[in-house]
Amino acid sequence: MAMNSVDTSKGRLRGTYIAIMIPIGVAINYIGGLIASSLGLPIYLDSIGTVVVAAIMGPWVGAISGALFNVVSALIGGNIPSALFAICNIGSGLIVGFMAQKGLFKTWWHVVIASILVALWNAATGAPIAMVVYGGIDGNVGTNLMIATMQSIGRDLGSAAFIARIPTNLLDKGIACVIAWIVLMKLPENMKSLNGAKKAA
Amino acid sequence: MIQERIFPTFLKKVTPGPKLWLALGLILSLILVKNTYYAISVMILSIVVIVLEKQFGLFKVILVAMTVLFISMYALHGCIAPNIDKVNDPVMFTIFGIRYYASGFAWATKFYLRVGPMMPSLFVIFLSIDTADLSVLMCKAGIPYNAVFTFIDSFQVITLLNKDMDQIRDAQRSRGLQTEGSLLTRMKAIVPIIVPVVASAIVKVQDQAIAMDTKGFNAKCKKTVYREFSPYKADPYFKWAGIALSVFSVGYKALVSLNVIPAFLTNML
Repeated sequence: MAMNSVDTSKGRLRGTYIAIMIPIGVAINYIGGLIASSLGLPIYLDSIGTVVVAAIMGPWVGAISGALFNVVSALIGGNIPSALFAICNIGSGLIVGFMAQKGLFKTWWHVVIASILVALWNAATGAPIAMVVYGGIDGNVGTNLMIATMQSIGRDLGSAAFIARIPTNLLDKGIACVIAWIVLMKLPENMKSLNGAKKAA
Repeated sequence: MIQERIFPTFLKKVTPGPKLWLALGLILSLILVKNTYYAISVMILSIVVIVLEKQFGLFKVILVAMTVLFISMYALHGCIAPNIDKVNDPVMFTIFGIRYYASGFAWATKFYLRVGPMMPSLFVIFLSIDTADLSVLMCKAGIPYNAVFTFIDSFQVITLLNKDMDQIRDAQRSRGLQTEGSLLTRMKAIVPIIVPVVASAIVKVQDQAIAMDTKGFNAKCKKTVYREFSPYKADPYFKWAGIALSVFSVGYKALVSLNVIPAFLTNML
């Protein structure tokens, strides 16, 4: 049997794929963060792996990969409270995973909708988590400058932390979704069915 | 051929279980007790241990993150923290017409000293844990083999992908990719670096899945571990220190919350 004709969408091989893809998602997230900091960018780039894995493997595997990334990253950096940001990544994985499963991650405007939904989710959940963990200010220069600007025009810290995260997340998650979409389009046929989407007749 | 011999340091000789207990004790004590002197002591002591363990080179990345966080939190919270009463609170100093409040400084201290000391202390503990030893510990604790593999593999794939990323970045630079300059120039460098990293990782998945399956990854039989670690003489001290810190911190917080004892150790907001 040729390798490309192996059905990986179900059965025990799917379990093997899950065990491989989750760590890859974690590592891509981590490397994305390193690239952002090495290029001195005011964005995070730490959800590319979650979105890629969710698009390929489905929502729940993507969510687990996102949550595990935050745990692993918190352990490596010693910043345990930051593991709470896993809630943001779980949401990103679920949104993109369900969209891909329903066939809504195929065109450029699907990607735009996914980016907006993921960015809003991350801003809505990231702001209260940043309030609990860091008192509203984290180590991201771009977000902090936006928060300071919002404060200077009379916003309270909570709403400033939320509004400031929207443009940062739109850019950040937009890049993540576009990369996931490019990778998904280039995948061999047998790997496209891993997310549980119904195959075309 | 001359080979470099790497002698295990004191922390590396301690087995993972006791170190995890100590990590739990440190996390709970820093979050629940909220004492400035204790937090600063933990931070200084951890940095001393990092130097003694000869890990300061790796710690520099964490130190940069700690410094950025420190500057961001103290600079901004001093001016805009939600607890500031701009009419009644004392102003510490004014710079370019911006007032820096004492209550904002206290707010920054509250949050920074909860996270800051954890970073060096947990960094040095987790860095000294051998992932193979940790996987044995997790298997013996009854965690399913697949879950242990996924967790431990995450750390290993990060190292491998990091090497790939360095190679791809250097290759793209040699082809003329600009990674320095204006914000737009640096933004343009993201896709040519990240897409090949992601693509090369995904391409290897199929081969790895087949290889793992043929080696019996999904075999239904009970998995065994052949690696055994012998306990080190300092293991009990680490374990009981961790348990004592955890019990004390939880007990102290519970008694303070129930108004049984005053918060005599807490001196942060």
